[in-house]
Parts: sequence; C-alpha cells; structure tokens
Amino acid sequence: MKIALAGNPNSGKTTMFNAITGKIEHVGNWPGVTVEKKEGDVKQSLNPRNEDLVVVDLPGAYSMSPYTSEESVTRDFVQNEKPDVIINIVDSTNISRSLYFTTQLLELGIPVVIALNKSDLTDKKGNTIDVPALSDALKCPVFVTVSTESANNGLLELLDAVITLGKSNKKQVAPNIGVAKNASTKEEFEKADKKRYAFINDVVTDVERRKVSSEKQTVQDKADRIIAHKWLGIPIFVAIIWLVFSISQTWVGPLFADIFVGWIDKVYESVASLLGEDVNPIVGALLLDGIIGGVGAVIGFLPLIMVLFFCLALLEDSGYMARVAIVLDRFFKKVGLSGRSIIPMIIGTGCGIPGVMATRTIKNERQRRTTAMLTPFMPCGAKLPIIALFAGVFFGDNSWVGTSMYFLGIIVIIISALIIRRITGDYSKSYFIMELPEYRWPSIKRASISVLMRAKAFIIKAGTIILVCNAAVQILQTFDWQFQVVAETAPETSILAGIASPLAILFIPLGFGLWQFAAAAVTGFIAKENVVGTLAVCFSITNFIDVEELALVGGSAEVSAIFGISAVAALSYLVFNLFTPPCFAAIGAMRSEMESSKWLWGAVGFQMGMGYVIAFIVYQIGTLITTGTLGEGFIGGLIAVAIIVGYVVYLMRKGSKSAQISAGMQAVKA
Amino acid sequence: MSTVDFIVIAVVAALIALAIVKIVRDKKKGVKCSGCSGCSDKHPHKCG
Repeated sequence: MKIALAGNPNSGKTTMFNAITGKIEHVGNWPGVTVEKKEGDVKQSLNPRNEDLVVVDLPGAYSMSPYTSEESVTRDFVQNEKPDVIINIVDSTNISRSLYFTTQLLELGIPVVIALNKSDLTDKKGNTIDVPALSDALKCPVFVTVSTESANNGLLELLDAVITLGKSNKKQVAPNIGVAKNASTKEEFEKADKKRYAFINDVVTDVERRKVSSEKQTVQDKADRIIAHKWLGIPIFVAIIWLVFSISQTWVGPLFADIFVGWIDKVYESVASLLGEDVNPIVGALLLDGIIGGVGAVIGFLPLIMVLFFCLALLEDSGYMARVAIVLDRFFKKVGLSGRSIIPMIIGTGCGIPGVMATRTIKNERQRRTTAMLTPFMPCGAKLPIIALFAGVFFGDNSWVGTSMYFLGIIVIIISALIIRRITGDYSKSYFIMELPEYRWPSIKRASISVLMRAKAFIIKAGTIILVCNAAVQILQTFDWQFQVVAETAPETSILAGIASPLAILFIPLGFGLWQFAAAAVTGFIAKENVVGTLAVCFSITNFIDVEELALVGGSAEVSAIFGISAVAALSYLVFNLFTPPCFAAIGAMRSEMESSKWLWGAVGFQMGMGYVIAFIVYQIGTLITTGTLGEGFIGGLIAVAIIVGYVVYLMRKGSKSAQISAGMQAVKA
Repeated sequence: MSTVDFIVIAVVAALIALAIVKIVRDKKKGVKCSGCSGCSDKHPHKCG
C-alpha cells in the first residue's frame, strides 16, 4: 500500500515521515526544506500487522496548481502515481490556510486521512479544534498528531485508519463546495476559488475557537518587530553568527578538538612505534604521513565543525533562520534576487550540493540559475577546516575570521548578483512572501541527530575521497618523473611539484606562489577538505601536532613558519579557496539545476575570476597596509585582473544594450 | 624490502581499494560525493 504525505510547506511532513519510518531526513523549521519526494517503509512499532506499507514524503505545496518545480513533484505524484491513501498533514495552528489544498486533495477521489499536526502548539496557544465537526465537514477521518513526540503522538491511530481506508477500496467523497470541475477560463477559476474560500471560512468558523484573536499582537510578533526589523535585524544577525563562530572556534570547539587531536596523535604514534625502525622510510611515510597524517589533519577539525553545526541546527530549529531570509530580502531584491535565494544559501552552509538543489524552489529561471551559481560562495562544511586551519595558525583562533568569511560570502553574493543581472540584461523583479514559522525552543535531540549525521558523513568522506587523494599526493611527492625517490633537500623535483609549479606562477600575485599551495588548491576541487589534507601531507604538518595547544594542528607559530607565507597571503589563500569554484560534486549539482551548459561554464569561469580578483585585492592591499609596499607580482596580477574585469564589464555593457533593445521592442509592440 | 614493508604496502593498498570500492558503489547509487547521499535521487538523506 502506497501512502502519500501531502500538505503545505512547513506543516511537519518530513518530521512525520521520520517518525513513521524511523528515518532521519533533514527537517527545518521553515518552508522549502524538502524539494524531492522520499520513500520509506513504516516502522514495525506503527505497523503491528506487518502490512506492506510504503510512505512517500512529498515536497510542500499550497495547491494542486504548481507554482514552483517542487510543487510540481507533489502534483504529478498525486495525480499520476495514484497513491492508495493520502495523509494530508494540516498545520493545526493555521487550519484556514491549510484547508485550501485539503479541499483540492479531497476532490481527487483518493482516500484522504487528515493529520492535524503540531497540536501541541495549538494547545499551548489555548486554541481548540472540534475534530469530529471538522471530520464531518470534510467527509474524511481526522486525527490529532504531534510528530515531534516519540510517544502518544497519535500516529498509531492515524496509520490504523489509513490501513483500514486503503483496504476498503472506497473512493473519497468530496464535500459539496459547488466548484465547477472543468474550469478553464480565468473567471471560472476565480469563481471557484471564491467558493472554495467561502467553504473554508464556514468550516473554520464552525470548528475552531481561538483564545487570542489573530489581529492581536503576540509575544512572537513583538519579537519579530526587533529580530526581523529591517535595520536592527542586521546587527542581530552579525552578533548571532559571531557568537556561533566564537562558541565553535574559540570557546567550546577547541576543548573537544584538543582531546580529539590527542587521540589522532596517539594513533599516529602507536602505528609509528609498531612499524619501528625496520620499515622502509618511504613505505612508512605513505601510511603515516600520507594516510594517517593527511586524513587525521582533516578529521582533527571534526569537533569544531560539529559544534558549529550544532549551533546552526539550534538556530534553524528555533525558527530564526527564516527571519534571516526576511532581513536580507531587501538587499537581495535590489540586485535582482529575493529572500527565496537566501534559503538555498543558508542550506549551502551545511553542504553546497543540497544548497544548490534547493534552488529549484525558485520559479524565475534567471534567479534560479544565479542562485545556483552563487550558493557555493557561502562557506560550506568542507571549507570550514580551511577556515579553522588558517584562523588557528595565522590569526590566533580569532572567531572574527570565520564570521568575516561568512559575511564576506554574503557581500560577494550581492555584488555578483548585481553583475549577473547586468550581464543577462534581465531586470525582472520578484516578490518574496514567506510564512514565518513560529519560534520554538530548539530540540537538543534533533540538533544532536543532525550533527551526528553530518559527523558520520564527514568521517566517511575522510575515509574515502580524502584518503585516496592524500595517498596519491604522498606518492606523487615521493617520486620524480623518472620514478626515483626525491631527495629530502629537493622536493621541487617531485612529480607533484612538476604538475603544480606552472599553476603556482599564476598565484605569485596572490601571495602564495608555492607549488604546495597550488597542489592543495587543485585537490580542493575534488573535495574542499583536501586543501587541508594536501597541505598536511606536503608540509608534514602532523609532525607538529601538539595537544597542549588549543590551535588545532598545534604549534601555530611553527606551522606558519613552515608554510612560509605571511598572514596576509594566508588570508588571500583562504578567500581564494572560498570563492573559486566548489568541488566537482557541487559543480555537478549546478549543472543539473542550471540546465544550461552556457550558464554552467559561465558560472565556473565567473567563480574562478571572482576568487582570483578577491585574493589579489586582499593580498596586494593587505601587504601595502602591513609593509608599506605592494606585494610580489603586482604588475602581472594587475594585468590578469584587468583582463578579467574588462571582460566582465564588456559582458555587462552587452547585456544592458540587449535589455534596452528588448525594452524598446516591447514599447513598440505596446 | 622487508616483511614489514610488504605488510604496510598491503594495508595501504587495502585501505585505498576499500575507499575506491565505496566511492564507486556510491556513484552507482547516484550519490555525488561519498559520505552522504543528500544529492542522491534513489537514496536521499541528510547531507554533511
């Protein structure tokens, strides 16, 4: 039996899906988290009779007439794949809004069972819903549910009714709303909508009793007047992100990291002592420096990342991140995007791939493609080890480094969006309307599960892609082109140095024209964590692990000396890695969402140019400020930057001209 | 080359082989990057 979970965005479908199947899909206290359908079997405790039950979690939809692509997923599934029963999840705190979609589902003929979800919040507000009356009015069973509770959540009763209804093969009888079934003109649709809303209004008036009138300002409304305020909202956002980075990078994170790095160090030492003196130094180095050291250097950042994601998960669950979308909407609107573009970017701080995938909630094609192009500019989880490494080694673990990178990402996105709008010549505007989720106390359990899943993913990635890359890097730097072992005094003769050195020349104006940094930047395209892994292997950083130091890789002064670059060059390298194209997997996601080779290659070229220009500016201006002279390779870099900027300006002018021509043609037509 | 060398090479080779097998299996499942399957159409779940 196939059971579909359908309902409005942020009604709690995925939370119910997780509760029914025992899975741990990503949930968020805001609309638009689910963009694809997901399937799972009903867990044993809710299926005592061992029925063959498959549950499908569908993206949220407000109606059967899709506005965005994920709404089409829901409409297409319900209409074409004909589930046996639909569980319509209705947010009990706002039934008047939810029932529009419900009335449309009831007209499909497929049995519908309504789950009045979030009933705990309704109780808290002191509101009541007459469930039998609602069931009578809608001619379908209605159950009260609380998906976030592990017991007494109403799900057993709900599924029992679903199974009974599914087996009965009865067709759903729709309530008599008086809507014409074959409406085709705009007037007919408007007439139908009016009747539907009138019916919903009558039902809500009959069944719902609100303790506080919706016109009255609640505590939540008052909080929003400050938190989502157009000016106050910005410093609040900066302060919160600074606090998150301080907790994760300076206060709590390093405490765990210290212990964790100690364990890695012990593993390294144990294996080293096990191998003893008998092992060939090259073979030993492959295992110790290449695999244990390289992977260990990346995994060493796991506690910091876990603490950071724990804080972000709490913020997301509290409903705050939805307010961020509102606060930033007005800036994004000015550059041709909207608050809708912010949601993929916030998701992208976890991983760029789901962030890029979330752009499909954007209907406007140019905005969707622009957002997919710019989402990877937000520092994702894979880039965090790079930030943490450089913040620890060069900037004394200053939490402002991470915070600055977060906001620099937002600023670069805004500037880039402005440029892209001029290049495309598309000045269309869109409006962002989002139903703000209620504030709630974030669940420690949900945040912990989310973080553990991320940690598992991080470890698997370190044990697969990063392990293979580090082993390859170790081998490539051990041998020269004649497959002779490279002398310790001449590492520049290695195959790796041979491959990376030509690229390193390009990086001289950026302050890091060393082959090791070039090699790390290249392996970073496979997975961004590789930047840290490759640097660890190339510089044998793991030899400097000192658990007494809070700096993750320990002995920060020693490490910075080994790196052989200035703090300004380190910052330049950091921004270069943040703003150049993301990993290949994220580029693949961009290709899927953009559906255009021209846009994809344009995006990769744009990201490459943007990363280079910002790194050049950071290094040259930073060097001028700190030393009084310009950095090395200024003239060459300036020529490269002038070519990049010149080409972008040419494209922008071309775009503006074509926009003027098309505007003129439209005026003539009119 | 001593016996220890051969053992170490075998361990390294095994680790790399296991990692590659995992990566290839994940690719077949539609997972774009090993570690999570947030991007997989067939087995989507939390991405790291």
